[in-house]
Amino acid sequence: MKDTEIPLDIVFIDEDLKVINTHQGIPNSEEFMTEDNVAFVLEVNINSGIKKGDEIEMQSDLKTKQMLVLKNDGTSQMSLDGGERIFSRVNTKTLIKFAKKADSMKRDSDYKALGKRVFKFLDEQDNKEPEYVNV
Amino acid sequence: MRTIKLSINDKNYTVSVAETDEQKEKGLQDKKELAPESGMLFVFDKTEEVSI
Repeated sequence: MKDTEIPLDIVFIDEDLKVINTHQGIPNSEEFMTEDNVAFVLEVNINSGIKKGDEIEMQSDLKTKQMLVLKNDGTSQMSLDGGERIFSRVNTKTLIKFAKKADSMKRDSDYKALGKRVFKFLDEQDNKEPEYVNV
Repeated sequence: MRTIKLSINDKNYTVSVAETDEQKEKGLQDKKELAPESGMLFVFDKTEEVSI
């Protein structure tokens, strides 16, 4: 609680989302609170009433890690929570070209060509081996 | 920082999620107050001994 000014309940939670224990955090205290087998720690205003054995319900699965899309200088330009797709610059340009044509011509065949191209790129991604970058 | 909704004992919270080392290190430092039903959730990669 060093440099923390708000009195907090510090709730230690295990991987089954059960509360291991709740400690009260005193502002600016140098004292450490320790628990084992911790998967999450929740900090809320003091006197929350959250106690050992309580169960936490989470809206989304947090073990799915967030992915950051980096700019050239290494800083993040956007974050992905999972489920999104990114196309390469070249593929994106191709899709834009097809989309523009379909939009101006309003022909079924052009929309169909766009759709086919989208699915082709998705299929390529699905069947590609994962590639990793060292940072 | 993303936020998620939690429910404990039928009480709903909307909390910020601290995932990176930097976010965890900073935590709620410098904050003067915390809105009711808000807070911060620290996520650990694997189950471990944690000292706060």
